[in-house]
Amino acid sequence: MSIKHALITGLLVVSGLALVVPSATGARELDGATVFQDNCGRCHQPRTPGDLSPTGWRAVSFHMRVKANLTPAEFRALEAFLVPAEQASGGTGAPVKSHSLITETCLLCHDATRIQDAVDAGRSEADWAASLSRMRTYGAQIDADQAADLARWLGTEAPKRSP
Amino acid sequence: MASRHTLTVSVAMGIWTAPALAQETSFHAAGYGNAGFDAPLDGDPAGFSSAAFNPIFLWREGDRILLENEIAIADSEDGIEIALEYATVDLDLGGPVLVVGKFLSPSGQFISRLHPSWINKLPDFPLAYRLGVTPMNHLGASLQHAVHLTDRQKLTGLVYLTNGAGETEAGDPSLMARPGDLSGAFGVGGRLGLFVLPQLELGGSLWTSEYGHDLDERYTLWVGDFAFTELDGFDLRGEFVQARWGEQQAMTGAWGQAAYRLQTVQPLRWLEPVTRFGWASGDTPGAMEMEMASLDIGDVLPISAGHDSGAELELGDEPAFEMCFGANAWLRSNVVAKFAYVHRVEEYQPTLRAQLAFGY
Repeated sequence: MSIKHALITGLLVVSGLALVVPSATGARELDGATVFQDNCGRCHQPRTPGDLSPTGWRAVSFHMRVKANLTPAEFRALEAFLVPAEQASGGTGAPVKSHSLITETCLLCHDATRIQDAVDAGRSEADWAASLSRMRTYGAQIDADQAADLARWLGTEAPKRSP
Repeated sequence: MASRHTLTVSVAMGIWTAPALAQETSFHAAGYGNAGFDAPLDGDPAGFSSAAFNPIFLWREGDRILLENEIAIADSEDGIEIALEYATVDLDLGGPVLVVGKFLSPSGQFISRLHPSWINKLPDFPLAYRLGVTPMNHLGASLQHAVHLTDRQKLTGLVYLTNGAGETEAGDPSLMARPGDLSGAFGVGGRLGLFVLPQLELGGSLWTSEYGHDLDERYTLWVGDFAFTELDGFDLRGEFVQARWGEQQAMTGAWGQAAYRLQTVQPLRWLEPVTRFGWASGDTPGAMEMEMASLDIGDVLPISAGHDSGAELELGDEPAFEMCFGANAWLRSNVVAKFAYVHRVEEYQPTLRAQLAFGY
């Protein structure tokens, strides 16, 4: 195969990929935390979102888009996860931040607004326990007793936003 | 006619860049560094063997432009050595990404993703990449894209056009990614990756280029790779590498690696045992010039242009095989102390190697 033919073949492959995008994924929303877990840990130990400033994550997320060849949807979700609007603006509209374990562990990877939304929606203690168990396998620095206490607090006592 | 085309291109570029100009810029200094200690087990003296520092600079302009580069700085027998591992301008084309400049070889997964010392799970490179017959980087342009096929399957693609291989005085291909001494040849390559599951990637790569005085010779590199990574800390991956050049010269190699971070074992969650095998067979050219741009492997391989790879390691008539066993202590998610027992082909004796690596 000549170089010309190889180049043309390659370009056609990439062009074909581009054409597949709308039909395969549509406007499917991706969860940024899942994108982070699925992709960042594939090559290296994942950093925690709290390790870098929002400005730093903006540059690094583009860098990783190229290095890991993320899809456009994955890139958007990852950037929204790493540079949440609340963090960027310094907002504090989440009463769940009153719990020290939330601020010391959960907020290293998650946006407080997202946790507060689940509390406001009335998520049960059992659901929180399942989530926290999964987070521990992802590397959350929290032991079993702390996870049980936190699940109980989130499911029964955590303050909700004022209506 | 020409001015009309110029106007059309200008308008198109203006439309493309307008959103970028309206948004913020972000600068970030990243990188990694490492220091190593070797203790041969057959009587040779032990000592500190390496110190390297690789700063990475990222400059993002709006949503569509990223300038990124990595500089490798290390001590060597000849003094401080400095190399440019990559320097690219990355343009988001609204889905596909165009990368222009000097970029790491996309063939396989090790060079492009795993070679930084804080990511590489052992102090050494795999055997197939220490033989001097595979390029570290290219000067050219690449176009990459990725799409989800389903919720769990993903396809990634990348094609690239580079300067072609040069020719050494000995008639072997020169794989240095440097401007100048252009032969008129171009290299073309590509990689397709299929995520069968989010945890399992299968990849295939090709790069080929004519070389020689009359461009009558060809160098071709094939790499097949796989990676299986579980969130609970299990990591299994490997590659098959084959380079062919000249009349009938060829090197065939393979490596496989398994690691398990004991994340679910509370007292030992910092510990990661790892093992890797390497195998290679075939030819190693006597004077193939290439740029060993990575300083992560310490002082074993120099980085400078014109490195005589064959002088470091030559395969004999028999295939070469090596095993490494290591234990990594993760002090933080970006700081690792590696301790490895390695029996490297080029040293003919087992060695204990320690390396402290830090990514930031």
